[in-house]
Amino acid sequence: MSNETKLLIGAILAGSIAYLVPLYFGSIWLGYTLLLLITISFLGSLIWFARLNLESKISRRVVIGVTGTLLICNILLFVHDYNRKDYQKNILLEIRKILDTGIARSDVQKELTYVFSRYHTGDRNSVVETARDVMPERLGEDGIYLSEFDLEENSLNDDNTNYFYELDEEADELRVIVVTDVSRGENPEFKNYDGQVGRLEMEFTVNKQGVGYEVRN
Amino acid sequence: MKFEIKTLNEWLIVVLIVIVSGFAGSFYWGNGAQFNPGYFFNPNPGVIIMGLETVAAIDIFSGTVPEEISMNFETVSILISIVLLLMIGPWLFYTGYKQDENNDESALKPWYWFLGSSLSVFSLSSIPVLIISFTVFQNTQSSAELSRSQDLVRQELQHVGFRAAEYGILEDGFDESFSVSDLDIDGLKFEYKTEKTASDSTVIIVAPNLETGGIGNKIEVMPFSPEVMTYRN
Repeated sequence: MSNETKLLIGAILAGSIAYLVPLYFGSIWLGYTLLLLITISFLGSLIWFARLNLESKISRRVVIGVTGTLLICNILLFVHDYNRKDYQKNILLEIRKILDTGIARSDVQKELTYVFSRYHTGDRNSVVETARDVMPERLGEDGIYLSEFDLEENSLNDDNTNYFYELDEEADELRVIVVTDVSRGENPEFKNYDGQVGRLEMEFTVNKQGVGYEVRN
Repeated sequence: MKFEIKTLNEWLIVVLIVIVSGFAGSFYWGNGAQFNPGYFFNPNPGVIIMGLETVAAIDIFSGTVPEEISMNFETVSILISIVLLLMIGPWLFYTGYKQDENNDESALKPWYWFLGSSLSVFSLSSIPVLIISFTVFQNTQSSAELSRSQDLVRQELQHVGFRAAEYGILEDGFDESFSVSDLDIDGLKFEYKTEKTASDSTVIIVAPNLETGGIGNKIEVMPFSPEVMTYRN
């Protein structure tokens, strides 16, 4: 058996093991990287054999040219693919964050702004009292705030967003806390209001001064 | 046979093999088959992983747990593609040349040279794949950048709208001189204008159109209505 044949069999065996073992454990990128490293070494060795064993200058140049081009192209393709492996996921998560923020604001902040306007135009002495009068259907049991989605949809559907509220009679303030199940916040270690970690969390407040909005994470 | 004509003929045969087998493969297997052997001749097998990553990204976006990437026809085809196009192909190509040096000059190259050359030539289609892939990605990035800016305009417009509503409540409506600068909002990236309405208790906020530079989205702010604000065209 020639050295080139041994090289081919060795590369196929090593490449298969290097790719299939990580794939079995769910690490396809690791397997693909190892497989390509072995392929690059194989093509490099083939170029070396061609320089060593081919006597004809033309044959040597053609083999080295084609093999070298394949080698360079596949390295570039791999680098290109690897660099954008998380691109789609990041873009979609960014879109999801924008949607979650926009929906929460147009639902909660709209409601709280209306409470604030009723407090100012009405004859009530307290913001909390106004909130209880204006939006009783929103203030559920155990501090659960019912969003527009919760009120309209049946309980089988989930918008992956959790709403809570706190009434502070002393400060005359209503706080609504919104935590999303999907969108991630800035700090991955942040402990969310509902026990999750690192998720997008917003807080809306209404008191005598006005309506506040803050991204907690 | 002269050397040049012989070489030309051999390469023409290779080109013919690549074209005929390419057409035959696509006619016979098509693209709809579940276990399409065409997957074994993929000059850019990384695109399969990118496809799986995209499916996982959509799952995450929709709030479901993405399926783990496992050993299946698609993922194993990546290995087979690389073995066929980047190992066996170039090896046969090289071995064919090596054998040819011992043969009679007038004889055609051995059969495995034709097979190896065809696989290598087919594999070289990774060059246009690479160029297209770069171009498409650049276009995607610039359109994503535009969408990002448009999203920011929408977010800012909503923010300005709520602040205007609060202002309207505290000031009991909007007088003639009201403008967005009265809201004292720091850090706005874009410029927003106001349009008066027939009622002094509502105001229209106008966002810029990033593509045309003209008028973009509008919202009507109604601080004393349960709707608070509505989007207008």
